[in-house]
Amino acid sequence: MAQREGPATDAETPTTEDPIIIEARALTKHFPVRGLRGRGKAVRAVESVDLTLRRGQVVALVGESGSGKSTVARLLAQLHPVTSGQVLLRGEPVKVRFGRRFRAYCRQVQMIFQDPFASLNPIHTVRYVLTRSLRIHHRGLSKEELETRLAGLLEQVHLRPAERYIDKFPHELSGGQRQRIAIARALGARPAVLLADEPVSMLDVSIRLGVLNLLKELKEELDLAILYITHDIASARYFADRTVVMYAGEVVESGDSEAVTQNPAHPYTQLLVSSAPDPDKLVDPAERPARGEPPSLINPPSGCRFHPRCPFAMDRCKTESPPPLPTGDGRVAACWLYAEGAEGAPKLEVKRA
Amino acid sequence: MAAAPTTVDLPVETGEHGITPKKGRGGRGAWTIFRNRKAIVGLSILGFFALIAAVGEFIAPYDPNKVSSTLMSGPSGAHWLGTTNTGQDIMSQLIVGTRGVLVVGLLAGAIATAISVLIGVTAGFVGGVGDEFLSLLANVFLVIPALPLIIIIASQLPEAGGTTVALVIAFTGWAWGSRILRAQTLSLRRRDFVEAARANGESLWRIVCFEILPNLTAIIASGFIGTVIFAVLSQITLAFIGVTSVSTWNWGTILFWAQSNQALAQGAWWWFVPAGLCIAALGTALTLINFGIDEFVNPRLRTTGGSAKALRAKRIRARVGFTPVYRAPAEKRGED
Amino acid sequence: MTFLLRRFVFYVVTAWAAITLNFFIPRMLPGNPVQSLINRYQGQLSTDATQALYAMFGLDKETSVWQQYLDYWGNLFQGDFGLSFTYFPTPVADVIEQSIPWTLILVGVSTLISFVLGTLAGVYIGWRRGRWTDSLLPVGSFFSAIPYFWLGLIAISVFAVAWPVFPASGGYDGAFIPSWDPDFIWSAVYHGLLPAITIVVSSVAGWALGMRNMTVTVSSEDYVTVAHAKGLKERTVMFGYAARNAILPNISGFALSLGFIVGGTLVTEIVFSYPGIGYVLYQGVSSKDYPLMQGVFLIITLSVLVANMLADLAYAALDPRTRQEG
Repeated sequence: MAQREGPATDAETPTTEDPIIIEARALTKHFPVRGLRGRGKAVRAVESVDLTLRRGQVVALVGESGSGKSTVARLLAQLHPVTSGQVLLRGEPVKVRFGRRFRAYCRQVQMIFQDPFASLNPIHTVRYVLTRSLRIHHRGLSKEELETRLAGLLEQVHLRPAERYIDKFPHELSGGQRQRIAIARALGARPAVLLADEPVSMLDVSIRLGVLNLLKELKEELDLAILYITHDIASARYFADRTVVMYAGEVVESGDSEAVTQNPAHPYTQLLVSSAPDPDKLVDPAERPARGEPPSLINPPSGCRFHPRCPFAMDRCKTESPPPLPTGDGRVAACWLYAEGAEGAPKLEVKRA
Repeated sequence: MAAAPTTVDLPVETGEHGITPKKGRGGRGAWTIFRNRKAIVGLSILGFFALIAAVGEFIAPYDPNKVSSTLMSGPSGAHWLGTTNTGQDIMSQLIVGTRGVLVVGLLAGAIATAISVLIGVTAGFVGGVGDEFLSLLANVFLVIPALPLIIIIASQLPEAGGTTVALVIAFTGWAWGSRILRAQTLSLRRRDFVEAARANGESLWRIVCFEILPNLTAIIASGFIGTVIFAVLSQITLAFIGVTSVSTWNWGTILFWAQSNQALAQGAWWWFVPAGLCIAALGTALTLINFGIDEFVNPRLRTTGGSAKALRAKRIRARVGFTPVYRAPAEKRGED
Repeated sequence: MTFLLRRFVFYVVTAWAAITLNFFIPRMLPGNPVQSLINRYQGQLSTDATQALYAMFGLDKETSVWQQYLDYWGNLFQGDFGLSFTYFPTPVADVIEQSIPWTLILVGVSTLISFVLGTLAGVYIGWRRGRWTDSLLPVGSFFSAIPYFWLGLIAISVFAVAWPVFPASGGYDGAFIPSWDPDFIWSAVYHGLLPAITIVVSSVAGWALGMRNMTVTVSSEDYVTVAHAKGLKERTVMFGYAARNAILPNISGFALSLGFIVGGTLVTEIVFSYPGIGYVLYQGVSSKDYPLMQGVFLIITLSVLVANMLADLAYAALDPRTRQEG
């Protein structure tokens, strides 16, 4: 990402007084392992995650594959039932699976998926996809109104002229265009929350910026609360107001994006940031040895799940799992280095160009 | 920060609300199957038989049951395909019998396909216990040999007319299709667009009917044709063995009478050869249609016969899995 | 291991289902088969036999259905399939016992031959595309659309009547008594050739087609390209890599279509009057000999189950993925 802009330089500076639209409290999801050998075992995909999305704010959820971030999104979208914990929409706990209540929930909370080709049914035209989205959530639309709204949706995602795209099939569109259609589909419901599961990971690098900027525009126009899931922490800094870092199903750090990415507190975040490819930043690989791989979620390590890989692991880390602890500048990090009286992790040197 | 432009504004005719009404899209998807040569041949043969089935009674030269005095005679001007040992005209029997064969075959195919779609798609979609139970049911019916089961059931019925036979055949023949449909549904269910439709708020039944089923049409069609082939063959075999009633004419009944009257030993080839040829022709036609569907679904199966010849003319050997290598003639190599 | 265990449980369940089906069919269908039978054999059946028939068909009002069901199972385990009508009073079990070896040999040998031939042909055709071999496919599918029995009829009329190369019917020359001496065996083989050839010709195309399709799909996979790139001989790649993977669906297809094959070969036996179990069934059908038909159905089903199990074993041996179940 060559261009850098601070996340909060636009007209509306998001403040912590914006109302919370959707919130996750102690969200936990265990997937039971099927088969004879897997009796009684479960994949602990998400463990006690707290997350808050405010109106007009973008929260980035950053982590590697298998960190549980996609599962969190699906739990928030009510696509999977939670094992324990709560999802609250505007302060009210919600648990819906089917029928009218589910649809009413979907009207508020929409999701965009990672693979732009796979998330559109190859046999349906753009017209069908968007029409369905409108018809599900707005009953009793006349034909004319439908046409107007279809045009409006395509306009909102910058696919002009609308009639050029309306009858196309997904395989006739480029990756960026398909993702825009997916966004348009989500917007058809006029949601308050947009859960974007790695929306640009499968797009060509040159297209990514365009789509992210579109999301930013839509956020401002429509006051959306956006959950931006990604494995690329650099884009989180660019796009999101707050960043939450996940590892092996748990939240390890959360706070203001700029602070988290420039001054990572948790050792894992430091690892992520130091591995982000950036020609401006030359870190000697010997300084931060990247040891090991993400752990098995069926048998996660005891205590802090990161301790086998952590360069600062202490005895306490092996037995007790750290809760999110304040680091002193409005951030929290789940690390015993920030327990009362401790100094915190050594600061990561971020060499700027 | 302006959004990166992704489209070029072209002057286009716009309708009243900015979008022109949808135009018909010819040549898309499903209809290209009809350009496949094999499918066309198959469909023509099938069409021919269907025509005969429809108008058979009216164009048959004689009443198939009517006996005459020309016994066991070979093809002649009066009887194009000869006569039986009681002087019945074989050609008329063949023509009139077509309807029975096609009706039972198509009916059985339709019922069996409906059952297999219901069970297969449900099993694939719901997963869990429901899936296990339905799969077990399908597997049981799959493993139990179909023909003996049909024989057992049909022979213990007091009267085995066309519809009953079709039902019995459908009852034993649905399992194969349901297994394939279940496998396909399982793989489709995990695809993102199903989850995306769900996240968008689509109801489950709409997802099954409009997102999953349309992706299965080719397989359902292929299964239908396969079941029709199975039904036709089973039905004819039943008639040949004598299980079904011998009063309604179908191609198998002709063979039954041929067999019981020692047509073989007497060398009366005209009695049993035409019926068998018709069966084979119908079966081949249906198989060709199925080939067409297969190749439509999996383009890699198309025989590269024609294009391979053309390639070989250019001295390129087309081999599967390889990039064709062009062997330059000797003179040109020096010009590298 | 769990794969085989699951399959075994499945077969047990299927066997139970087949037996139960066999039990219930005559009871569920309309019409009174026993009555029509008794009418036909008027006077020929003793009261005991009539009573036995009633019991067998569950029309015996004195015992409950559940009791009859249990009795049925008990009889089965003792090998008692009831008494045959056509060969009265020979037990059905004996009739089956005499005819089964013929069927096993004929069907077993010819099916194996056609499977092997078809698979090899399929590999070859699939591997070398764009040659004349491709045109064999429509020809082959024409042959597989022909009912087995009709092909048998043609074969007889051509090779047994017109040119008496083969005997027209029977399992062996009537002059011999079944024994192990070479003359008899030669006669048996001679009589079995034409039916076997019929079966092979009719079914080889099906295997070839399936194998060809799979070979085509497999040969465009990357590991085949890698094998070629390693410089292995073409034959090694064709058999060791492509065919080895392409054959897997064919094996499970083979297992599943055994039921269908059985059907076809049954009818072949009928055409050739070959003294196998199919012919016995035919006689049973013609004379409405229900105990015989049911016995034959059971035996056929159980044999198919056993064959399926063997095919599963073969599949498990060939496909390493099945060993890591869990």
